[in-house]
Amino acid sequence: MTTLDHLTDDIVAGRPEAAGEPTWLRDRRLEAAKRFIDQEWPNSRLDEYWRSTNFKRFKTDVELVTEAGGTADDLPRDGLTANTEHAAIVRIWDGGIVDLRVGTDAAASGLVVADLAEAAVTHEELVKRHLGSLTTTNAEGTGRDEDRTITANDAAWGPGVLVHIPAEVELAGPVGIRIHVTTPGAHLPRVLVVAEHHARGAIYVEHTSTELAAPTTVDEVVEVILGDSAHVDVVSLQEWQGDQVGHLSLQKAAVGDNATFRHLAVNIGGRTVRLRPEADMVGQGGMARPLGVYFADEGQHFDLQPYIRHIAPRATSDVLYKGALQGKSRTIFRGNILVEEGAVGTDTNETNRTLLLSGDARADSTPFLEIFCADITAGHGSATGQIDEDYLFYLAARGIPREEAVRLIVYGFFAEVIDEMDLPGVRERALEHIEREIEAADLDALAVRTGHHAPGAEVA
Amino acid sequence: MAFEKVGALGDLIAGLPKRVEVGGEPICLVRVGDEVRAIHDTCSHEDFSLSEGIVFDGELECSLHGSMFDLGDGRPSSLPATKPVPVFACKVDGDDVLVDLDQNLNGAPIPDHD
Amino acid sequence: MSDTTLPTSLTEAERNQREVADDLGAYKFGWADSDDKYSFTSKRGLTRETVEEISALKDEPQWMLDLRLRAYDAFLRRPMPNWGSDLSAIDFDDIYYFVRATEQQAASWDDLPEDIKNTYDKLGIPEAEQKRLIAGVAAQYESEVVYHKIREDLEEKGVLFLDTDTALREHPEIFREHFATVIPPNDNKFAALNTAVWSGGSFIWVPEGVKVDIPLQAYFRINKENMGQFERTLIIAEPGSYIHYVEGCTAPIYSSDSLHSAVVEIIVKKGARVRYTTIQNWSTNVYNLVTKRAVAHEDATMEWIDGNIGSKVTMKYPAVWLMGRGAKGEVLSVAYANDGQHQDAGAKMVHVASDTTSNIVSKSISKGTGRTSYRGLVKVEDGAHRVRSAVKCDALMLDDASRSDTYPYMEIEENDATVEHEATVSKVSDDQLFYMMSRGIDEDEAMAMIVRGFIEPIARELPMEYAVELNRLIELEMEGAIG
Repeated sequence: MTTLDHLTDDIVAGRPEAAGEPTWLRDRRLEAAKRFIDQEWPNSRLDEYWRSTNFKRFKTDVELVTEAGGTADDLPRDGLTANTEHAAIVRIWDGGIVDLRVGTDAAASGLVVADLAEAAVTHEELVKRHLGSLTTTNAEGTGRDEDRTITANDAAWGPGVLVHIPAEVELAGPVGIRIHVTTPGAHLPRVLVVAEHHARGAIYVEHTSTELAAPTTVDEVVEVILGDSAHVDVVSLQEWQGDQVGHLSLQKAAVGDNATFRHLAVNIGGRTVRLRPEADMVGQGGMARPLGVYFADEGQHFDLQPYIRHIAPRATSDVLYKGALQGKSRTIFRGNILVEEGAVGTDTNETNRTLLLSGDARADSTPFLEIFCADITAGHGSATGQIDEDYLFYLAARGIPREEAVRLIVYGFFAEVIDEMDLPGVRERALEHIEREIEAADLDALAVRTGHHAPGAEVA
Repeated sequence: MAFEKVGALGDLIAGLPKRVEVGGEPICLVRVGDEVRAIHDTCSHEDFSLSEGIVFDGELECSLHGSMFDLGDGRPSSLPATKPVPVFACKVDGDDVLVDLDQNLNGAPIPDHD
Repeated sequence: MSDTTLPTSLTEAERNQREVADDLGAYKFGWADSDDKYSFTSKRGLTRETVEEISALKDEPQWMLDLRLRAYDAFLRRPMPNWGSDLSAIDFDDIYYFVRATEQQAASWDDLPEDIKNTYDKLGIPEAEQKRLIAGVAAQYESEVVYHKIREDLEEKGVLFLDTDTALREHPEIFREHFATVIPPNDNKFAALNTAVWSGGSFIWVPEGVKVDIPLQAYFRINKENMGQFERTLIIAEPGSYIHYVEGCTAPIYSSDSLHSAVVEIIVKKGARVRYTTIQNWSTNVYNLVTKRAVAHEDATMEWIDGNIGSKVTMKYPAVWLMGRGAKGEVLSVAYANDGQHQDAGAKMVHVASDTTSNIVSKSISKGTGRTSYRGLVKVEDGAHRVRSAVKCDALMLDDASRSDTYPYMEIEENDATVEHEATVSKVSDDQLFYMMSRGIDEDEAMAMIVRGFIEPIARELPMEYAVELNRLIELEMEGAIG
């Protein structure tokens, strides 16, 4: 049995897929396996970025799942990937890709969506150049060797997906990648997106599962390379069912000259989700817009860590995360904006707003700024509050029942983020989740703020 | 739950805390003479094992930030902790050390711990 | 007020500013006195024997020696902090942990050795006392308080203002009841160090209902090279009382580093108010690693006003634990980091009780290769209802080589808390400068005006003479800011 705890070079080299992989890929995996052996799992006392999440929440003595959970026909066609207007659809079920389709028009325009292991042969130069460029110290990208959670994926990732949008191609519909888990254990999916100059497209990464019977760790890496003036939207939906999934995810972009990277994280499911949406602003005039909505319920723990590194001059970034909590749950917003020495003219902002709907919830907010360059504009804001009783009263006086009033207020709270992701199906999907969370809410136990005179101000 | 055997008195060295598991909860045992005190093993300030600490004059010092807890009533006698740690009924029967988790002597809530 | 004559009017202050402006911005307090006549100097380095020796020289009770030794063990056990500034250059073996400059505490400035008296004269302390701008003075030189005086009327009202060593001897019960309850010996590595080797500092006890309208002042001077100063301050404000304590600090410039590692514990009882003002102007070879924490009980108010101008590295996060319903905490802080300096400062507010409020305003300026960091915590504990907290951090960067960080932590465990945080980082814009210069203001003056405006929200909270002093210190630092 191979568990996540015991990734040795023998195991990495002995994987059944390894036979078909080119030598350079095998070597990189082995290098990562060596690093893995030298590293330890994160320690909250020693690693500032693990401060708020005890790594023990992620089970590592669980077996690697390397087989597909079934065939495409057995996998229900629901969720966002059921949308027929997609440019391409990839469905991963446990350890294998079970479905991979590229629309005729999209294929004709040159869009490549492929099994990453196969692409390492068929699109060798492309994959060799970019894969791992943002997770390891290398000549090609701005990545640096990461902690053991990422090293594990570097060593033993699979299944993987390559998305390549050629220069000046604008996709008519999104590329949908669904990662569906039904077998408990360790899952190591990997996605590489390369958008060449002036390319434009949206990638949906949907994470779903059945209610699993045993602890499951999904340790995922998504790398996104944006060429000059490219525009890529990544939507990551965490829709895990049940209370067994621990989801570790690094979703990192390198943003080229005048390129735009938008990221929307919708966090609803999972026992523990530690998500790192990151952007290295490597090109002048690039733009990053990390957006997040999260709604944590009983027993859930979300640690959301958007990180922007301004390397090149005159790039802008604007982080906006909004979350609600109910039941005994905990969320952490750990934003970080780093402005390096040469990044003159950077304009950056970081905002986190949290709405606490129950008394047992705990919300942490740590919007960091680290600035090595004077000629910039930076700001951040964070506010935590609750629904104002005055506001509910005001709505009640206009004949709006309490439940409806709460729904209106919570919708209003999230609208600012969701409205901005004007992509097919995304808004509806996010609202659907919020709707379901509000339905599950115990309105009698709803925490409201009383005795102040700024109706709604705290949730605006 | 009733009294449950958690260890032997002979294995406990006076003043040297020892961590045991009782009904899934980590408990810190401290021998005081021929008696034993049982306090939850989690500091009420931050999630940290109290059994890594040192005992001074009937008080247990959390080695993370130095909060002192009275082994009798679980109350902190110094900051940074502000809340008591649960203290459980503990008795010695011959060489057996017994703890009853149902008897939370100070009624303090079980601290969050991972 | 720390280090020069207390100006009695703004015009005088302005005149001082002009004079100072001709001074090329050099650190003005960098002279050193001879240490030939010191009555006791410990060996360099820290051993168990050093700790025992300090305790024996002070003829302390056994419990204090036990506590010191316990803290010494904790200091050895604890690792250095793995965050904040780089402290790896501190050589604990090279430091003098206890230096007694004079055998007797003086009751009059004239009773002090000539050198020491001259030092305080240059710093303007006796003059301020004479002008009755302050209600009491403590002057600590190296490890101990060499001069101490409290105004007669306060003494009559029962206010205790003593050096901490004397307080331990003369008021053992009240001392032991409170000592190390706010900051335990093993709180952090530097609090452990202080607890092991503490000496000097102020002890203040304000009786119930007594309001002291004029500040008490302490002045800390390090003179010897490689000196470690470890004063310990304990302030207890009984219900309904008020006290304002002001401290200033300077040291000579040496080529090797000194260490200042104080612990300040404050207990503000029901309805009382304590304001603690620091204008820290250590020379740039001092590591300033200080733990300051207050407990505010029901309806009490604790205010920290913290100006960090000097030092090589400062790590200091004044804290208020809001333990009683309706308690208020406030931290106003200004940090200025010039070439090679790192001011890692901030605040902590821990809301334990309901209806507590806190407010943090931090203004930091970095110039040259200076680095400022705001590091702060607002925590709302389970069971603390209707808490309100607001944090505002602004950083101004004057040069491309400067660095500024903001590390706010907000941990909210109660649903009806309202916690807000805002921060900005900016550079003085060319437009702003150009506008002012087009109105005939020269560039240096324009820059100084902008900085003055930037820190104004904090300066206005200071008594006038201290505000002037703060502005003057910052202007000194601003010398040559352009170019």
